[in-house]
Amino acid sequence: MNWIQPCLPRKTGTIVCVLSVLLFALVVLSASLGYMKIDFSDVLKIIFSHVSGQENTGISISQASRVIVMDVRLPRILTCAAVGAALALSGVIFQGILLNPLADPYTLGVSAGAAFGACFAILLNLGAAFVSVPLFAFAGACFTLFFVIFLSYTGKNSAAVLSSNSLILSGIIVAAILSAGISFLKYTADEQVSIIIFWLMGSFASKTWLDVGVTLLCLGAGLVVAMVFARDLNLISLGERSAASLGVDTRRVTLVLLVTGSMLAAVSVSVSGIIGFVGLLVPHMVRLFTGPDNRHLVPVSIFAGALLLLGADTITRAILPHEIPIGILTALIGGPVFCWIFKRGAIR
Amino acid sequence: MKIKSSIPGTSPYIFLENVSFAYEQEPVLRDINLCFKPGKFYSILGPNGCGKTTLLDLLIGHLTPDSGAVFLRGKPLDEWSRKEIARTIALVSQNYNINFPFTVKEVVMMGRHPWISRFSSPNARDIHIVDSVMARTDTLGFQDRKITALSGGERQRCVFARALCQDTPILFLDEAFSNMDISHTLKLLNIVKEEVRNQNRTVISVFHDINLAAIWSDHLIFMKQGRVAASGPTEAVMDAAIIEEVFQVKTRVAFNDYSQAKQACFKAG
Repeated sequence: MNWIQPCLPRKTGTIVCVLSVLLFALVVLSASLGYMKIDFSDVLKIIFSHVSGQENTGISISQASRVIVMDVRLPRILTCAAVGAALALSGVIFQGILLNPLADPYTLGVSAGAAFGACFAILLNLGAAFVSVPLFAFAGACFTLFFVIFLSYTGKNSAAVLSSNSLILSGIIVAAILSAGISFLKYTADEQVSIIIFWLMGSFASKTWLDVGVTLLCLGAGLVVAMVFARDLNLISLGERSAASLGVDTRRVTLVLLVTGSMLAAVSVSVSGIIGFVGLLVPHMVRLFTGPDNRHLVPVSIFAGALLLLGADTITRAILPHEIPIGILTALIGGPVFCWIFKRGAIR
Repeated sequence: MKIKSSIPGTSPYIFLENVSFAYEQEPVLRDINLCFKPGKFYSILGPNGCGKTTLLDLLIGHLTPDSGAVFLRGKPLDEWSRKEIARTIALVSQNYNINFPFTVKEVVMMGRHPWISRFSSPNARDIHIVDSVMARTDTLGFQDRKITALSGGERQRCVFARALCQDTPILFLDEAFSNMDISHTLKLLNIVKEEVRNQNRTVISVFHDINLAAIWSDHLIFMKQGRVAASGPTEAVMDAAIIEEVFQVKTRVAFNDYSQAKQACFKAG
């Protein structure tokens, strides 16, 4: 009956409310945890004093705690939450347009393109100018996307241009070429190979408010596009021919959503390296609760993705004795969970 | 967007003029001239690969002809927007595979998509149409089940119901009964026939079962190797010589009292 109710029916509204409260709680909890423990109440006070603009109200809180929370932990926490949300949203979009519940933000090789760009920047030693690695990563992702679109923009059937099959095949081909390219760069990198490898494994260490701004901005734009086209995406996920006969301009909608999903993935990878399984797993877990209707799946997935990735990052940053790359942790946690969902048959 | 049917002189009417089409080098359709009138049930028959589905794709605008033109209600098809076409033609396609676990009711409600504007939800009329169509097509019984958990025939019925919900003057059936049991096939064909008779709709159906087609159709179109081999009223073209020529099988055709139509028998070997 979900289809019949308005875009955000009460049940989805409730889930979103609960998740946003949980997310806020996790942000505060995460900000208090770390090498230096800070009380929840102090974290709340620091945040509220900044939000309200009165910096000097709480005399009891040390300057050190202030700096740690506002300049070190919160940028990292918020970037992480935004990236988690963006990856989840991107996963929802890709699973819809590729008609394939096993697609994820990296299926079309966007991650390989970003990784290639980043490796290139690191190899040329552009890492000194700190923004240039993410910029190169982003450029690599964009180039990959446009090449994949170029490859799959063929065929006479207007409903089948940019069809899921041709997109997936083009993505696989391009990703294969790029990963060979990455291997080559690693081979020639000598001492910098460890920087490359570490970058590829993903990390949220030393993120700034600039990262927060960029990812939140992209997330907001992506969310608007996804909600506008949510119903068309429902139809596209039934197959191009059916969607076209039901009045969806499949080529245009697919292109818009493809660019949106890829940009979300590209920004995420550029900011934090390759973090797997969030974009694959979150839409699946959420679909168990909301059903496949994208008008419910999209908002809930965003919060679930943010919660999951922030939880994982908090574990690696504050709980484990040594920080391990977040990409490894999400794969180690996400892989088995995915196996469990898959074995239960909830996907097929 | 005003619906064209309210304007006089633009009744449902599809017209193909010298249409040719090729996917690659080899032409799939050559010089097709056909005309489809309202209030008639048309069936397209022919061996595999003769261009039946391609013809439907051209008629609904999924494909554009290499030469010639398709007219829908007097206007070239490429001047129609996808949404306008979806309000005029509904298609029950061969592909009824659905990868995502939508409920049956959600899938059928998708038939109302062209009538519901972007951010609004279905109104009372949409819900009424869906409920009555689901009752007629025997899909109400599993309306809350997941479409992915249904059998092929049941899924085909849901897709059929979805197309009826589109409430269009023209309905295309592309082997819509290929996985359905005989009782549901007859039931749905009765519904289609009612729609043609009472609502003056046009139905164009691709069939493999020549005898079913002969019972239900007003007009048969035989295709062979991308050309129209024979086209005319069922009584006239339901003919052993034509079927033998098109399908290369030994055939006898005789009027059958029980089914009240000409029926074909085939000789083994």
